Amino acid sequence: MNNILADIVPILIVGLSLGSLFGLVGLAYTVIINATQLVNFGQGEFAMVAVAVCWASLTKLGLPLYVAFPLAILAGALMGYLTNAAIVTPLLKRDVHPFYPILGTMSVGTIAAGTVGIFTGFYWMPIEHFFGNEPLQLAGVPMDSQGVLIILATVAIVTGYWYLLHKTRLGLALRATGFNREVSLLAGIQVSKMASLSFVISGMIAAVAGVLCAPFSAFTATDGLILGINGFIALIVGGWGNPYAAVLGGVLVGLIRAVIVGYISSAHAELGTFVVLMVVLTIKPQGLFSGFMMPKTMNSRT
Amino acid sequence: MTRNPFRYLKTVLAVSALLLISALQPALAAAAGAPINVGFTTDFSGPAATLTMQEAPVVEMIVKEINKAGGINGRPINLITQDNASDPAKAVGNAKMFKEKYDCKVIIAGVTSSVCLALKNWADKNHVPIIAIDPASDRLLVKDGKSWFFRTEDPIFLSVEAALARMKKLGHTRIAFEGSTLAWGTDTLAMIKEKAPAYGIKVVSEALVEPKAKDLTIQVKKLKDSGAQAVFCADYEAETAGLAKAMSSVGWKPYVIHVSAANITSATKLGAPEMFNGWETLQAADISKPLARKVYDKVRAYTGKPVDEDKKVLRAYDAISLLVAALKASGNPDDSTAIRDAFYKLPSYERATGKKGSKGGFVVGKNHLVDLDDEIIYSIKNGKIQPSK
Amino acid sequence: MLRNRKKDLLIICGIALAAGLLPLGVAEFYRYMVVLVSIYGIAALGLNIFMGYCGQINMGSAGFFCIGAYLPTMLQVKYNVHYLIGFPVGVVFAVLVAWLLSYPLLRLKGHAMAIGTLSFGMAVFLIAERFPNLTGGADGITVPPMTLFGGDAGDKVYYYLILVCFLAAYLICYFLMESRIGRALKAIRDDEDAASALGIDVDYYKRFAWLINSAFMAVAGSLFAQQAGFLSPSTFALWTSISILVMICVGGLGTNLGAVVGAAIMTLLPYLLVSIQEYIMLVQGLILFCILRFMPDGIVGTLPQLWSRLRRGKEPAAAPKAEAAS
Repeated sequence: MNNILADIVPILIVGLSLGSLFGLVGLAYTVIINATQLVNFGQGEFAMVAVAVCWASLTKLGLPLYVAFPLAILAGALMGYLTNAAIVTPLLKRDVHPFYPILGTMSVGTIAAGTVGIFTGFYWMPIEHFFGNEPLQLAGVPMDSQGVLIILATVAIVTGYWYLLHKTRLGLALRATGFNREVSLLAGIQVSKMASLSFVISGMIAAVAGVLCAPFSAFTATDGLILGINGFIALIVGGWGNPYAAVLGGVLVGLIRAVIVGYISSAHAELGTFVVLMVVLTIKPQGLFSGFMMPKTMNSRT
Repeated sequence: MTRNPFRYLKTVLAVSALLLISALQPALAAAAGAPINVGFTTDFSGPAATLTMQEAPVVEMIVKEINKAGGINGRPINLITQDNASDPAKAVGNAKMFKEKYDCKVIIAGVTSSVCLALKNWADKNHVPIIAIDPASDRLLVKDGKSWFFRTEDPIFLSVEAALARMKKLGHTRIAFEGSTLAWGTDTLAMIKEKAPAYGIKVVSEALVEPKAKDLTIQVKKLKDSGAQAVFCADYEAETAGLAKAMSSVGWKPYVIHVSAANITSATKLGAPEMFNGWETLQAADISKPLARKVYDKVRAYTGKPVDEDKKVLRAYDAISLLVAALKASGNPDDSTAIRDAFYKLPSYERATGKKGSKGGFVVGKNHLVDLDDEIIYSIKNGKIQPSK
Repeated sequence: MLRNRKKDLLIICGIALAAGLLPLGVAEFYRYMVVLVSIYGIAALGLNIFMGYCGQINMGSAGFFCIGAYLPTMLQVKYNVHYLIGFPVGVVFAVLVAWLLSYPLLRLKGHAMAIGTLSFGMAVFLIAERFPNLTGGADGITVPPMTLFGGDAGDKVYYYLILVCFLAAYLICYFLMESRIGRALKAIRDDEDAASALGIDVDYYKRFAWLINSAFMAVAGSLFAQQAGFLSPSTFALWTSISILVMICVGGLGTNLGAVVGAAIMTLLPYLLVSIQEYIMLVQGLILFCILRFMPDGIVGTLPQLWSRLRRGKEPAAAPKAEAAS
């Protein structure tokens, strides 16, 4: 019995922490989708820029972590704001192919990756574990402290976002904007400010996700993309437009990956994730958890 | 609205002018001490860009040095650099451009094995010699006759044999393998499985990890539970650091040998260096020999940045220096075949890679530079490598 | 209307003739550029039919590009099937796959279609990487050169083959744009429900556009395989699908000329920026950003507007006269 426990617990923990990471990025996507019905293809780059700022603050400016981390979050917020102001809002005003604003976010992402790449020579930007390399011992099972941090951060952020959405007037305005832009305008909600806010929040969430997972595997300027793709998969598997579903989708993907690595073979983890995606798209394209905690009024129109 | 009939005339004129100018260019160039164009294609972007950051400056530095000293028979070398982003199709496109637009008679290339495989095929077909810096794949071996493709990196089979010999010497007969899912990792694993029995070694478990994998705890636990005494690692920098972190997380400290000293020296910078203490690695280069130290100092002075003291810089140095030496020895830097033959005519070339006193260019029947006895085992302490006893 | 068409066709033939005569005068390198632009031009034209004219989203076009590249190559390597037979077989197979996929994919809307096509593209890429028996795996595979009458066909034959394919592709798209089918596609793009109400069989035309898209991508892939001489799955990753998309947006979504212009610009860019390799990613992002922000109709879409604005500036006196006359 002990043996089975010793086997399963690491799998669960790694799956949960990785899954929470994907879920956080999926949540970041969803925040924007909820307010603007757009997918931000530069999401991964938001995280990467935050990591770059954190790394630069730590190593070049010699700042302590408790200063660098907030700076990184600020950088993420700024990226979000800039993306929205520079390309999304102008494009939404014009009559263009619906895909254009999405392509616009991608162009900003590419510019960000290219710029960071030039400054760093596409070299790694390593960040140390926040609490050192010694594993935490919980009930005799060693766990990576960073992984635990990610799980805790995800729970905190999801709770915070829930509170924002359902217990504050601002959250009500955000929800209204996502549901129906025109009616919200009539109701006196500053729709453009809501869109901007959603990008800023999304940038901050992505920043947290990026900086928390950077100690696992050092980021380079081009590593935003893979994080963005994984978060996107979490979003699709979980549920489109439902923030809690996105997180759950991420956790599910993370757990499945961990199980595949643990019981089958590490080489097939990527393929496994992809198979899961295909299965979900075939049997329930709107996402496995799309109805979770969602009143009817918040679903997207698809 | 009437169409302006002259609208297209301007475009046609412009295009014709461009074509005319470029057609005349070769004639204009052939006039005076015309530069020798050398193509340089490598990864300036993409996952392998970090290697290029260390190696490209070496190539530029040597070219500048040669040009300052008067070039080759008074003709300066003009290095034409192109990014191939680890895409073989792009790399072949670069090679075509080097040959047809810039009339390059020799090319230097970097990094990934799949890119170099494509380049090798192109070189064989087009009869332009290419010397490559980093690819390790055994598919690039040319075992008989003269080759059009050369490289200064030791092929996989050499490093595997050296590593297995070391493990046998230390008495580790049950080993685990951790490597990349990319071709380099899988090729190394296949080679290990093929050669291990000859050394009395058994591979009891294996873990292939995809690039940018975040947490290797589960894989490491599996390797630990399989009863392996030692780990053979063939993975890239970030993933190697991940391996070390996972091993310290799980509390397992077996003997680890990493097959590429280049990757491990970078890996030690991506995590706490103490995690790698006691690991060993190997490379076909003696970093303590005078020429190696001279090269490190020169590169440090040239770039103004710290230099990884391992084979990366040395193999780049050898590649470009051999290219320059071949140009000189060819007697005719405008003849690709003469340049190719000259690669085999450099018996007194002093190598930066290889063991002390390692000399000589390429030898017919072998298109890589080093041998099994050039492989030296290093141990890692505090993020630095030093030769093992 | 007819006069315009005659002029357009004359110009097309003129350019084709110039390109055809190219090998006689110019360095091989410029031929190579024409070859590259033609290949990506065909791909862009195909994607433009589906995204520009029909208004849909396809983010996995590299999947068909991949099938078109690998199938003739594997047939040649494994079963010694001649390239000129493998080529159409590859295209037919790609169209078949596209036809099968059209049923689940085309009924999706907007984002769902984007995700669906993206997944298809990723699936093809992963299969190409993980199944060495099928495709030579991640290491890649050498493409045997095309043989003609016993010997190597040589670059010249290949060059003309590509030119002919490109010309055919462009003419097909050109006539399609003017025909009833083209008008139906544009109607679907503008408003699907209205088009349906007008009696247009939306499903049929969408499928048609999708099949043309996949056929063109497969043709481009086949030609690409021969010219590259070496195939590796990394060439068919997500980035390729996106870059073709970028080409048609930069050039001008919904115009054939735009597709070709966009293909030309994005393909030639790395060769133009020879001296500043590290900046390529930044420049690509900037170009896309500037086009989307300041010229969303693409280059071909915006230039006529600029031109007419310039001309209007030159003839201010004409306007009051016209007003006075009426």
